[in-house]
Amino acid sequence: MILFDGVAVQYSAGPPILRDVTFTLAPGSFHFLVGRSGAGKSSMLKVMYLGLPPTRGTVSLFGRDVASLNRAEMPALRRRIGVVFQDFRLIEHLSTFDNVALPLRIAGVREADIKKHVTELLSWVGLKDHLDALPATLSGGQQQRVSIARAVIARPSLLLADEPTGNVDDVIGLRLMYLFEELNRLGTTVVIATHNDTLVSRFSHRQLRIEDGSIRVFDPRPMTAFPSTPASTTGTAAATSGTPARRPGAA
Amino acid sequence: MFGHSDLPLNRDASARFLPWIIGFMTYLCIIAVAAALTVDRVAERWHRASPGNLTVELPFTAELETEKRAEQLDAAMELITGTPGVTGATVLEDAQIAALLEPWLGPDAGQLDVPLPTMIAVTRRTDSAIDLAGLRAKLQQIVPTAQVDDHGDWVADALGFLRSLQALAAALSGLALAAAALTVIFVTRTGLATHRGVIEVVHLIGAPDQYIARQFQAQAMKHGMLGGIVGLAFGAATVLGIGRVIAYSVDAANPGLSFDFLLLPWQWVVLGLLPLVVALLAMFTARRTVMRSLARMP
Repeated sequence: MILFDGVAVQYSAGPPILRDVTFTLAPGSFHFLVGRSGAGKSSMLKVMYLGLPPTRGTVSLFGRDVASLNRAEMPALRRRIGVVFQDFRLIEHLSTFDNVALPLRIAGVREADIKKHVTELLSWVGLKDHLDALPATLSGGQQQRVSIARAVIARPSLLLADEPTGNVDDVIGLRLMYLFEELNRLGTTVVIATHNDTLVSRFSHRQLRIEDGSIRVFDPRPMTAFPSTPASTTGTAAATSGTPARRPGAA
Repeated sequence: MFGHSDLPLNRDASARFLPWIIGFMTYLCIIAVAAALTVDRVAERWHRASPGNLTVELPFTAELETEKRAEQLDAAMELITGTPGVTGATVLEDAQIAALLEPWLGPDAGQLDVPLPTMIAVTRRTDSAIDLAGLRAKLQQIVPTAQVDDHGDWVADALGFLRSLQALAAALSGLALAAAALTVIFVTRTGLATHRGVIEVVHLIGAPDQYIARQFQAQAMKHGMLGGIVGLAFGAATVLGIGRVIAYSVDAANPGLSFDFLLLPWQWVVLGLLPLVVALLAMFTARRTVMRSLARMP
């Protein structure tokens, strides 16, 4: 699904944000991307959603080396990725409904189907009374839920979320996590960047830990539960592969 | 075509002026095209009215007796009608000559005590040429002061002038359309810069460049049609007004002289299509501008 091979990211003349990062995320896996603020979580997500080309190294998505993609091939690949931006990036002049409907409209879905799916999803995230509201009139938490709804509405193959529960209370946060797990159960590969340790410890998914520009993969689950998967690796070159086992009793 | 838009293009300050600018450019274009069409009608009429006829003028010579002048006229008529390429020759009556002189000498031209020359209207075949120099030389052997006036030369000069007027009108139309296109490019680029953030999000969600271009081109088409229709309304009113003013002025100066400056129905159809042409131009210009600009974006 995602392959990073010797990837480095550096902004102009600044220090490298990521250095020689190598890992593989299997289709249908669920990972937390953790690390202190400024560690490079957002930069890594940007590279994953094709918003930032790596300074060095190879990034492969859905079996395609992204460096070999031409401009016309990018949109189809991006439509397979749902992104929850840290700053939401909602379109200010569009209503809640239209913001969430955007990926479906881009995909050419019929308006009748768009209305049905968007209304259903917004009800699920608790925003059915705000369909016509503009983002500026919503609270931070509500905007975050709109952003999440927009990211998942088209059932992406890969969901990348940058601090998706940062502005919501615990109840809503849990509800959103269950939504992500449900999507994951349906086959979506999920990567959630967060520095919420409580959330990470509560859902025992594998973790990509960024430290000093390098990646370490950590699997909190017992080895016996994942016989074919390395529990963790260290250093700048790490890998995970295989289909993840389910957390017993996961919602 | 003008349905849902993810970009708030209609709120852009620069876009709000676009219909007016396009309207003004369309107005100029309508005037120029109407002028070209009118000139075309005039040229066509002149061309049809003068299919290359000649006029032979035998000046009045007071020293000659009437009989001698009649002999010269007979000899000249014989020479002219026998010239290859000539199909007929008619001696104009004094009243006809007076009518020709009326614009210069007034309605009493026929009553003036002025000796009038003998004028011979010569018609000729359109499929063969006449040896004008030879005819002139032979005529001058009969009447030394005889003149041969080839209408074709004058008409050719006049038509050349009219064609240059048409070329000027076409150039003005082209300039007006080019100015409209440049305005669309400017407004589109401003829109791309203003909405860069939204465009980036829409791109990241998976929109191809064509999806974004469609929104700009729909907006440009809408503004083009709106401005075009306004320009057409004012332009048509101006063309009609100018046509009537000229017709009135000509009629006042030369009562009874028919000088029709009004456009034909098909020419009005051409003018009526101009807003559509302008709108299509705006649409394709916007699309091309967006596609070229987005191709340079990461």
